[in-house]
Parts: sequence; structure tokens; C-alpha cells
Amino acid sequence: MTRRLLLCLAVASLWPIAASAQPQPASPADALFDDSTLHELWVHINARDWADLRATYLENTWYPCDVEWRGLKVRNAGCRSRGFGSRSPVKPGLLLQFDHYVTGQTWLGLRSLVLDNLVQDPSMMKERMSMRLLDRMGVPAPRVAHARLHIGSGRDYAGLYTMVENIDEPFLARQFGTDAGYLYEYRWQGDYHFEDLGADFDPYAVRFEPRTRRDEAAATLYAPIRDLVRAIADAPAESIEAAVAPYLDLRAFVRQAAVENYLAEWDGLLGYAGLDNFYLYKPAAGAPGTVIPWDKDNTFAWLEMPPLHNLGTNPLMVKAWQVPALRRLYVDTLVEAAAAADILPAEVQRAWAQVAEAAAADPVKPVGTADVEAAVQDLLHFVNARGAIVRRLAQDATGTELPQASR
Amino acid sequence: MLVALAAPATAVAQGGADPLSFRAGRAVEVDVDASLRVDARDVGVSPESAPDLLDVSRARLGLDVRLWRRLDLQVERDFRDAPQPWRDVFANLEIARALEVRAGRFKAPFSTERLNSGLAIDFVYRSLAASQIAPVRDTGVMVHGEVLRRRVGYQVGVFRAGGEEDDEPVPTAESRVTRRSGALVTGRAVLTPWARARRRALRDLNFAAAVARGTVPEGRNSLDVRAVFGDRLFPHLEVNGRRTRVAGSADWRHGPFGAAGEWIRSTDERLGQGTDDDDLPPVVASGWHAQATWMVTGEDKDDRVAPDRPLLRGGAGAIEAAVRFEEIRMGGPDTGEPRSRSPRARSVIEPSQRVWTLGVNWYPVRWVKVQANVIREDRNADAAALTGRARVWSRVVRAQVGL
Repeated sequence: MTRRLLLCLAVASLWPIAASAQPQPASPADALFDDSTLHELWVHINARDWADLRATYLENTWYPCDVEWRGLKVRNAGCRSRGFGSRSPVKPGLLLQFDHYVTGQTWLGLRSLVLDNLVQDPSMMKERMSMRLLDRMGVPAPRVAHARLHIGSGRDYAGLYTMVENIDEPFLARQFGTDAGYLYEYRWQGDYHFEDLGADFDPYAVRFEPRTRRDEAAATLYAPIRDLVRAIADAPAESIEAAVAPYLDLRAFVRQAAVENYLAEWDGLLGYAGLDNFYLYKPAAGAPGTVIPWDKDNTFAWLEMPPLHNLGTNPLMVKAWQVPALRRLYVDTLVEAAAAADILPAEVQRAWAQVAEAAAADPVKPVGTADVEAAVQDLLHFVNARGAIVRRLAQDATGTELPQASR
Repeated sequence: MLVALAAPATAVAQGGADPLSFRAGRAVEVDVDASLRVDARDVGVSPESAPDLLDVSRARLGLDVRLWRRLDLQVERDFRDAPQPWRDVFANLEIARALEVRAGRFKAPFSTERLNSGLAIDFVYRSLAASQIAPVRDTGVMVHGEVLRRRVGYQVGVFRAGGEEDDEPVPTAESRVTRRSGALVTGRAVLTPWARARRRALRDLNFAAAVARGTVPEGRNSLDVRAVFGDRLFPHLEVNGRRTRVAGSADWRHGPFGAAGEWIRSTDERLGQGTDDDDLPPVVASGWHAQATWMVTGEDKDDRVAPDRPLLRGGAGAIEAAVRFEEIRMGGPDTGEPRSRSPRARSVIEPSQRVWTLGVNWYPVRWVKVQANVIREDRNADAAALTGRARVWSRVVRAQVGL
């Protein structure tokens, strides 16, 4: 309790600075993701459906629901359990899809909304802080804001969640100016790092699931992925950027990998089990794709994580590292991230002041309140100390040979 | 195949009366009923919906024993239906013409079209309303009779499980859905106002009205309405409460001409089915059909047409032309909200389908019937979105033998 009070006092002193840095909401969706306040989100769902959803939480069965926020209510939305390792029958992660039962229906300009149940992150803040930094670094990251979730006709408090902007057409339009391109969600299928999987499309189809233009021919959808992987395998290091240029914005990939390593993300582009937790978006056929970060609740994992962690396991990063300009880009991005992350200590404290009461009252969180407070302290320690560590390690990084297997 | 079917039937038809009937004075009458039906289809929908191009859709054997012309015992089995082979299994006691009691498993008295024997219908398939909305066959007790010098017939029955089991499905992978519900109470009245009129043209005009009420269990148990070849036409909606059905029909026959029509409506309550556990407006399924037939070769229209000049006896049999138009739709009250296919929507979508069926029936002999139908289904936007098709053409040929 004392620790919480101290945190609140610290936040109070920082509040004007943090608040003044927030842009003014320009649209209803901006207001929904405005992280200067703790939101109240009400999912109206029939009691029997809610019980069924929790009982069958491993399935993707859709249930009808209405969603209400600040008196704005959308009817006939679809709701289902979501997640991979985070699926829970006690505190289900939820995907709300507003056009599931009404074609073309949107709410606040959104097609869908993810409610992250935060069960894999005792601090309940890693997703929000990670996306904050990624966004600040110019990476096309989804917006995140905390919300108390209320369920059913009784408006029962169902726990503290984060509302995460889903990677779909409205997100693409906001980030890229067009939603007409090819969006793929990477589906983890085991330890894979862009190795050549052969000429068939099937191995790529199971890993890169189309989220737009699903009805297009397999060759249209997957040939660019296969050709990207072949280019990575075949191109000499010195021409890797040109070789993959038709398929991938390599510089954006390098920058995102660097920021993820700054964040000590152990399940991302350079994850412990290969690629994971990202989308790929090609704004048009023939245009290079951009990676989009997703699911960042495994960040802030290891304060001393080397900033070149796992670069040696990824064939693309191995070749990129041999190109001085790309190596420089990676290291510069690390240093830039360290500077941009200066806001994080204040952000953590501000967010904690915002959600501490809701987190304590969360009746279904998987850990006790003391554990949450301890995790927040650990997070605070990380964001205070990580910048100096990365800066120190990055100083000599440009002359470093990559460790081949630091997983 | 037709020749093979026709030959034995023709042989037994020489005697005129039912070939498998036995009499022992007035005390015992025994009829053996046998029927076989083969369909060939060319359907303009996906193979998953109607996978078989050639299908034995009926293979039944039945026994009808009538004792002292008062007690009637019937049992019938369909050998192609392993899960539920039994069809009619009942005893009927005639106390008086105005009062008969039937108990066992038989068709619930509701839809005129549905009550007709499958061997007697004028098209390959029954109307959508009769096959999809009306209750079917179940275990129950019924009181029935004729009063007012046969001008009025009545049927009142109670059935165990709502008469929801579809025992004559369109042969698709999905259509065998058992839609069990609570006990069903049903009543039907048939009025033949000019039964004793001098003008023959009016004698066979009758009207029927029916009502059925049961309960439907909580869940996505709204009527599982399918298009002609099994495409799901209506979404499954969350329902709970009473299911009330009403029907009205008219039927007329005169010489070689026949005309008929029927309208059926079903209303399902949705108590406590809202997203806030509140009551939702009921969901309504309705349908109607109108049809006309003409015996081109001049025979009188009857359930079992007997050709004046049978095949292999100097003639080519009887020919009948038939046309039917029908519509089936689902909907509910307009609550001012956008209509949705959500199973808990207050304003549900309104899928509907109109169907034209043109048919030719050939009766080479009394016991054999060959039907050819061309069917055109037209769906509105909601139904087309659910089924993926706005218009479907199909052709069906059916050959059946009924002894």
C-alpha cells in the first residue's frame, strides 16, 4: 500500500508533463484509445453466451453482443475468445468484431477491437508501454488504452483489460493511407526464421494468413512471400537490401527488430522460437511489405538482454548485419530508442496511478495485488535502467560479430 | 429402369383392385403397401448441398389391418432410413363417423400439403412451407371425425415432441436436423361447404384451417428452413418460449383440373434471449404456395390417377401438366435498428425465396408415376448472402412405384 501511495505521489508530480504531451483527440476512435484516462467498456452479452464462451474458451465460437462506451452503443457485434497462450476460461481475452453480424457495420470508425486480458503480464502494462515506444519510434503500432471491462446485464466488473487497436482495414488506412493492400497475420508454426520452405505455397500459407483479399489466387497471395524467402536465401549479403526490396521494407524491419530488442522482447521478430507476433502489410501488389508489431506482453523480460540478441539466428538479419549501412541503422535505432524511452518511467507511473485501483479490484486477475505491484516495480526498474545498458552495449556493437545462437 | 418398374406393376394391375389386398368377409381386411422411389437430379448448387445425382429416396413396406371396419392398425417402415425407419405406426378406432381416436406415431394434423401421401403429391417435392414450417410426424393421440353430413371434418391431437422430426428430408448432407421441442397441441378443421351441391364443380372444393402450439427449447432452435436442395435459407436464431403455427388452405378438383393453395405461418418467442437477458421480439417464418394441375389426357384428377389407356394395354398412360408458385420468408417486427443476422438481433434479417416449379407427370399404369420438374429459385439479397446464390435452376426426375 505504501508503495502504491509513493507511486501515486510520483505520478502526481509528473502528470502535467505527461498530459501536455498527449495529442488532442480528433475522432471517436482517438478518444477510445486516449490513454490519459481509464475507460469503462461495457460488453452486453447474454448470460448463457458468456458462460458458454468461458466454458469453450479454446474455441473461436462467435457470440452476439452489444458494446457500450460513454453511452455510445453498437448493437449486434460479434464476440469471441481470443489469444494463443493467453486464453483463459476465468478471464477470457476477447475479440469484438462490429461487422460480424451486420455487413459493413463500424463503431467509432473501427471494424473490431481486441480486449487483452493481461493474464501473461503481472504488471498489466507491458503491452501499452511497448506500443507507446514503438509508436514513438515511428513503427506502425496499434494504439492501446486500459479499460475496466463490464459484462452482462448486471454490468459486472470483469477485470482490467487493455483495449488494443486491431490490425485491420481502419488501422491500415490510419497508418498507411490505404487499406486496399495485402495484410498477412503471421501464424507461429514452430521455430522458423525465414528459411526457404521450397516452391510450394502451402508452407507459407499456414504461416502467413491473409487478413485482407482472402479470395485472391494462391499465387497472388503467397508468391511474394516465397520469393522474399528465396531472395533472403540466395542473395549475397552486399545486395540483400536490393534483393528483398520488391517484397520487404528491410530498413523498417531492421528498425523494428532493434526496438524490440531494446524492449527485451523475447517473442517477437527475433524471438526465442523464431519469428512471432507480427503482421506484414503490402500496400499493393508488387509493393514492399512492412512489418507491424503485435502482442507485446512478453517485453521487458530481461534487463541485461544484449541488444544484438538472436540476430544471429535470423538469416535476414545475419545478412543485414554484414551491410555497414544496415548495421549502422540497427545500432542507431537502439540508441534512438534509448532516448525515446526516456518517457517510459513517467508513463509507467502515470499509467499505474490510473489503473492501480482497477487492478486491485480485478476479481479474476491470475496473480495477487501484491504481485502486480511488485511487477510494476520491476517494470519501473527496467525502464529506468535499460537505456544506459543499451547505450553502453551499443557503443561497441557496430564492430561486433553476431553471436550465432544466443537464444 | 422405367420399363423394369412398369412391367411387374402392369402385370398386377390387370386385376384392377389393389394387388396386395386380402379380405376375410367384413371382419378382416389386410392391405400390404409397398413403395419405391428413385430420384435423379441436376442441381445448380454446390455438390456439398446436393451430393447425389441418383438417389433412392423411398423404400417402404407397410401393413394395414382393418378389423370389423372399426379398428385400423397400420405399420410402415422405410428401409433406407436406418436412424428412424418407422413411419406410421398407429391404431385408429372408429367409434362413430363423428368420433374416431388414433394413437401412435403418425402425421400431426396441420398442413394439408403435408398430410398428403408422398406418393400423391403433384410435384417431386412438397412446397417449402409444408416441408419446412409445418410439424411432421410424431407420437401422439388424436381425436377426429366428420360432422354436419361430412361438410365439416375435425382433428385435434396432442404430440409428444412437437412433431419436429423431418422424416422426408431433401437428401442433403445437412438437412437431417432433428428439431425437438416440447409437446405439441394441434387442431385442424376442414370445411367442404358444397359437399352435397348439385353442381359437381363445387363439390370438391374444400377449405382447411389449422393451429398448432408447442414450446421450443432455449437455444439456436429457430426453424431450420432450407431451400429446395438444402441450402440453409434462414439463420439459426436464439429462441425460447412458445412456437405457434397457423395455416389455411384451399383445394379444388373438377374433372381433369385441380388447384390448391396453402399459407403457413410460425411464430417463435424469444424470451430472455437479448444481450441483456431481456425478451426479444418474436421471429416469424411464413410461406405459401398456389398450384394448378391439368390431366392432359382427360382422366379425372385424383390422388392416385388411373390412366384410361395404360401403357402396354393399347395406350401410353396418362399425362398431367402442373405448375406451382411459392414463397417462403423469415422476419420480425421492425424495431428501428438495422436488421442483422445476429442470433440475438432485435431486428432480424428478412431472407425470402420465391420458387417456380413446372412439372409433367406421367402415369404409365395406375401404380407407377414418373415426374419431371424444372425448378427456379429466386432469393432476395438476405437469402442470397446466406446461401451464396441469388438464383438456382435445377431439374429433377422421379420414378416411383406404389402398390
